[in-house]
Amino acid sequence: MPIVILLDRASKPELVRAELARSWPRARLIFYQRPVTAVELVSGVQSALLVRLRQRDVRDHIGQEMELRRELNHRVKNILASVTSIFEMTRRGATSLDAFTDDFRGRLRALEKVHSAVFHAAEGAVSIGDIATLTFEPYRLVGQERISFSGPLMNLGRESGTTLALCLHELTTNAIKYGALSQPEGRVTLRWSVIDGVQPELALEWKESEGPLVIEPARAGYGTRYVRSALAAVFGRLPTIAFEPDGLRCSAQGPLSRLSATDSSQPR
Amino acid sequence: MREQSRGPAFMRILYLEDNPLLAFHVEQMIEDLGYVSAGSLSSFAELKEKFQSLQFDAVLVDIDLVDGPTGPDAAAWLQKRGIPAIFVTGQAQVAARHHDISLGFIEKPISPSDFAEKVELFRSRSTGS
Repeated sequence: MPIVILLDRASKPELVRAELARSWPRARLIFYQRPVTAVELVSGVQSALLVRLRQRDVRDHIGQEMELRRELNHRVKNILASVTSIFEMTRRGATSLDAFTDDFRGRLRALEKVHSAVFHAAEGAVSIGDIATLTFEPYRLVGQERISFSGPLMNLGRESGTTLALCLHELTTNAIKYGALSQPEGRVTLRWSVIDGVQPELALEWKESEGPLVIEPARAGYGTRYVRSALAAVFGRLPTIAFEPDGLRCSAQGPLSRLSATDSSQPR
Repeated sequence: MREQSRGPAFMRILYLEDNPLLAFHVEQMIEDLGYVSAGSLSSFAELKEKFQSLQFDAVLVDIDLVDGPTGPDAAAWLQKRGIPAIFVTGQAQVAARHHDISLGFIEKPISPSDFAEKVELFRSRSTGS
């Protein structure tokens, strides 16, 4: 704390100085002894004010940095928790080490790609079209033009976008392993639309066709269970996953406000 | 005595978590232990909105939810309604401060043995053993 001290003509500067330095060891002391000109005093006060302002700047800066560090720590822990969950759940369903490796790598890549997309997007919002493009991109050789998607420009918040990307990844790999994309003529269409109303809603549908005859598996695998749980979390309602004979259909619908909301834990 | 004979399957556990991957994983862990997963919700607001239509006996709660650091508020709110909570969080210090509204906390990333041990607290509390 800077302090400006105005000493009387008769006082002994050394004594006062020593006494004050003892009482306020960390203060920045500026002494003036009478007679003092107005200019001298004003310059002393101004310099003291400047010191104080700088101190406040530094304090605010440190405060912001601490806030950012806390936020970063929180995000890193969250990502590690996500990866741990992917690991545990992949391990649980794996039939061999090779199968585990392929599935785990694919899921981590999907997570990494959507993270980059969200990071580069303005204000952490990413469009459904972008999510579809980056999720289907590794499978273009396999899928050729067999995966098509269409819908209006629609931005999702970071968390919703990340989850949707992971869901599309699961649906795509499932379609390649067991569904429409396991046969050369099979196709997948992803469509989304906005349903107007007092509270507008987003509807999204994944539909497979011209694949092998669909038989509902006796026990749902990681992909199906994850898609059901994750879409319920994102849309606020359970999705419909129907093993229709001509191809799997997965549809979800929920309030737009919920899907486009940006993460509240973002630094403000 | 009737309470004692209840199997763990009667314990329905809800999870408040804003990360769907974790929610998915924890729902599975709940069922692996023989309890029933009552699903997951991502915010305190959603809990209040859906509370009447949900059936659950205990809750696992993350500190940070979609509507902010509202986990402790949710735990306190549920405590008033007789539903016990355990925090699941990366912020152990924050959770430790809220021991009055929870039976404890499980640290993230979740270790299966720690998870099983802590969730058991719900059962010992409900059977009074």
